[in-house]
Amino acid sequence: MGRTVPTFTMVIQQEMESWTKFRRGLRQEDQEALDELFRAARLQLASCAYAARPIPFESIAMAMLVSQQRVIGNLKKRVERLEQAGKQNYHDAA
Amino acid sequence: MSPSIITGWLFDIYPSSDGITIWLIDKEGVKHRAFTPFVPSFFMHISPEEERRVAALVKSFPFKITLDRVMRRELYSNEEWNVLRINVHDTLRFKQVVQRLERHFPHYVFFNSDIQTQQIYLYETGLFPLAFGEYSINESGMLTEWQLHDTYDASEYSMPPLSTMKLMNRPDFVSPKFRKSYQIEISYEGETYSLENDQPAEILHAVNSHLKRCDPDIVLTEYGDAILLPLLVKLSAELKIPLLLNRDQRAGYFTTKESSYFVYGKIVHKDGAFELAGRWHLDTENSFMMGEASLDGVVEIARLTQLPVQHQSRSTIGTALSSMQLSWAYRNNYLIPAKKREPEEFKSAATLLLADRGGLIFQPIMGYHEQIGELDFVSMYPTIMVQHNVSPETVNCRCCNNEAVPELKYTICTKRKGIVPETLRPIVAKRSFYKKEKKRLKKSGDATWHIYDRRQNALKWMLVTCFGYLGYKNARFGKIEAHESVNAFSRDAILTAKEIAESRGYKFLHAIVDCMWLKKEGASEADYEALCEEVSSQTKIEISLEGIYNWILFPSSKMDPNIPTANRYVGFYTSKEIKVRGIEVRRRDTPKLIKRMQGEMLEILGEAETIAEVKTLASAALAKAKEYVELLRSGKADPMELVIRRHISQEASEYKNRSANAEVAKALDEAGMKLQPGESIEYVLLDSTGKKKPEKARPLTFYSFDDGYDIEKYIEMVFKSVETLLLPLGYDEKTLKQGFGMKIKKRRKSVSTPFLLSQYVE
Ligand SMILES: [Zn+2]
Repeated sequence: MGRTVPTFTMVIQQEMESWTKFRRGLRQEDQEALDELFRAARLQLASCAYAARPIPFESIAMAMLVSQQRVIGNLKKRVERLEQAGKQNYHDAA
Repeated sequence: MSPSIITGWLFDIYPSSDGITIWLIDKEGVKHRAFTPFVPSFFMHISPEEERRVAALVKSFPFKITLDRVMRRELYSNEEWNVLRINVHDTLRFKQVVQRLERHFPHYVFFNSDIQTQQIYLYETGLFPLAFGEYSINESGMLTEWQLHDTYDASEYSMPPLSTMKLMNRPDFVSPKFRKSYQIEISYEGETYSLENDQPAEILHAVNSHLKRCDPDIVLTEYGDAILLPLLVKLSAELKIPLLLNRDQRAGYFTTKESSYFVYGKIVHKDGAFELAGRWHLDTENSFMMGEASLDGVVEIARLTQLPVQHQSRSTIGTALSSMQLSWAYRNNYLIPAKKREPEEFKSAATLLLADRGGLIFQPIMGYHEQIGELDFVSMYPTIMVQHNVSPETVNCRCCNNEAVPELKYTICTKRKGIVPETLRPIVAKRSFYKKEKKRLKKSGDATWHIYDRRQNALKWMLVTCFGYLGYKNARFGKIEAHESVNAFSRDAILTAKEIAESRGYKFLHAIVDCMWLKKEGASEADYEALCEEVSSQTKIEISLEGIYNWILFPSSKMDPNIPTANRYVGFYTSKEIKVRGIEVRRRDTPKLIKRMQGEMLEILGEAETIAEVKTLASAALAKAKEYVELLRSGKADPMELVIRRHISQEASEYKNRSANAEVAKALDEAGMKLQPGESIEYVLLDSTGKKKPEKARPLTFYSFDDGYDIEKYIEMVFKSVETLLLPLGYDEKTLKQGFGMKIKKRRKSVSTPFLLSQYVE
C-alpha cells in the first residue's frame, strides 16, 4: 500500500515555479545557486511540514538558511583542520 | 425429513423465497441445506403524521410489511431516538421496498436500509461464516436453534473438510481475458482433465459430470468472474443445457458489474463478481485477499467481519472494516445511516494533501551508511486509534472539553468508547497473537506456522488501510477531524522517538511516518532494545528493532542526483538478509532482465560487511552489469524478459500524448480489446524514440520474436539501475560507458554546479 506522499515536496515545487521570472533574470551560475537553495530546502521537509506555517515560503526560506548554516559550520571545521595541518607543516619544515 | 442436530460449520448463507438459506457442513463433510424465516427491517426517524403516509404506502405492496415503533441510539449525539421500524416479510424484496420508500421520501434519512439481508441476519443473530456448533433442524428443514462452540473473534478455530475443484483456462501465452477459444482444464483429487474446445455442448456435459463426481465445496478459478463462468453460463443458455455450478439448483447466481475505483489516488480495476449458491467460487485474479493471503486469510477475515466467504474474497478492505462496524452498531442498538449513493472513491491525492499534512517524513541522508539500526512502530495508526479512542463520534464530542490531540487541540470523548477503536481492538489483539504463535511454531519446526502467518498477514492489510477510511468522505463512519487527529498523534510519536534517540547519541538518518533509521558507532542490539523500551513507554506505542544493517544505501532521486528521496533504499542486515524498497529490483514495472541483473549485483554487494568492502566488490558487480549490456547489444536477450507492464490510467481514446503506453492501449483498443482504467497492459519496446520504426512498442499479445527490441533503451535502463546502486561510489553513466568501452554521446549539457549545499550537509 502507498505511503503518504511527502506533501511539502509539492509546496516547494510550486514555490519554485513561482520564481521562474526571477530565475530567468539571473546569470546561469546564479540560476544554479538558486536551484541549489531550493534543493537545500528539500532536506528539511519534515520540519517544514510539521511547522505548517500559513505562509510556506517562510519555512522554505528558514530551511534554506538552516542548511546554509550547517554548510558554514562544516566548512569552518574544515578550514580549521586545514589551518592546523598547515601550521604543522610549517613547523615541520622549519 | 426427520429432525436432526448437526454438529458442524456454517458454510454458506443467502436470501431465498423461504427467508434465508443456510448450508452446513458436518464433521464427515456431509452438506445440509436448511432455511430460516427472517424479517429484515430498516428505520426512519419521522413524526406520527408522516408515519401515516408510510403506512398508506406500504399497504400497496403485494406482500406483508409491518410497522412498529422502537428505541434506537444515534451515534454522534448518543441520544435515544424513537424511530419507525419497517419490517419486510420477504427477504428477496427488501431492497425493492427501500427504493420505493426512498422515492417517496427523498429528503429523509434512512437507517439500516442499504445492508444486504443475509448480513442483517448475521448481525442480528451473531452467527458468522464457518461458525462451529450444534445446529437443530426440524422435520421441514428449518433451522430452529443452535448452540455455538465458537466466537467470531476466536483466535483458535477449526475448519470443515472442504473439497476443491480447479477450473482453469489452459495456460496460454495470451492473457485469458483476451483469449477467443475455450480450452478448459479441470483438476481435483490430484487429477487434471483437459477439455477441448470444438464442441461447446460437450464441454458443458463434461463440466457437469466433473461437478457431479467431485461435488466441490470450492470452485477455484482464474478470471472466473470476468470470463470463464459468464462464458459457461452463456453457452448453457444458448444450448439449453442446464449447468450444475450451483449446489442449490433452485437458486440463481449472484453477479455484479465490473468497476473501477480509486485507492490512494491510484485507479484500481475490479471485475464483476460471479458468486454461487451452496458452493464458494473463488477467483484468484479478482481477490485481493486470495492474492495476498490465500484461503486461510479469506476465512480469517470472513469470520471476523461476518461477510460470507465468497463475498469477502471480492470485497475491498473498506467493506470488511465497515462490516465489523455495522455488526458493532447492531450489537449496541445504534442506527446506521444509509450511505449516500456516490461512486466509491477516495479523495484525490491532491485534496487529501491540502486537507491534511499526513505523517512526518525526514529525507534520508544520501549514500552508503554502515552499522545502522532500523526501528519500527508496530501497527502505529490502529494502535493510536485504540489507545487514544479516536473515532468519528469521539473526536470533538459534545460532552467533553480536554484538547487531547496534540497541535490541533481537538477534544476526545472520555465518557464512551468509539466505534472505530472498538472494532479495531480485536484485530490488533488477534494479529499480535498470530505473530507470536507464528514465531513460536516456526522455532519448534511446526509447519502449521504458515497458517498463522497467512492469518496475521490478512489482518495486516486491514490495519494498514483502516486509517485511510477514517477520513474517507464516503465511509459510513468517517470524519476528517478523526483522521487529522491520528496524524497529529503519529507526528508527536515520531518526534518523541527522535528526541529520545538523539539524547542517547543516535543520529537520525531517515524516517518515514512510523519507522526510522538510526546510526550510532558501536551501538549493540541491547542498546537498541533499551532505546525501544524507552520510546514505547513514552509514546504508548510499541516500537521494535527491525534489525541492524551491515550497510544501507539511500540512493538519490531519479529526477535529480543531488537530492535524496524518501522510502527508496536497499540494505543488508547483519544476518545477510536483504531489505529493499522502491528501487528497480522491487518495482513491478521493471522488465525481468533488469530486475535479474540488479538482483545479481546485489547478491555480490550483499557479501560486504562494511562500506570499504562494498567498494572492493563494486568491480565484480560491474562485471555482471557488463554481461547484461553485451547480451542486450548482441540482440539475443529473451524478449519475454523485456516485457514492460503498466497500468493504464484512462481509456485508450482519452490518451492525448504519443507515449508507448498510449500507443499500446490504442493498438489493443483497435483490435477490440476494451480495457478499463486500472487494468494492466504488457508490451515490448521496439523504438522508444519513435524515429526508426513506426511503432514505439508492441503489445505482448501481438509480439513475435522477430520484432526485436529497442537495444539502446534497454541498455539505458541497465545503466539507470546500475547508477541506483553505484552512483554514490562515483559511477555515473559516463564513467560506466567508458568502463564498458562504449561511445559517449553528448547528452543534455550540465553546467558545473557552483556550490552543492546538499553535499555539505552530512
Ligand atoms: Zn465526551
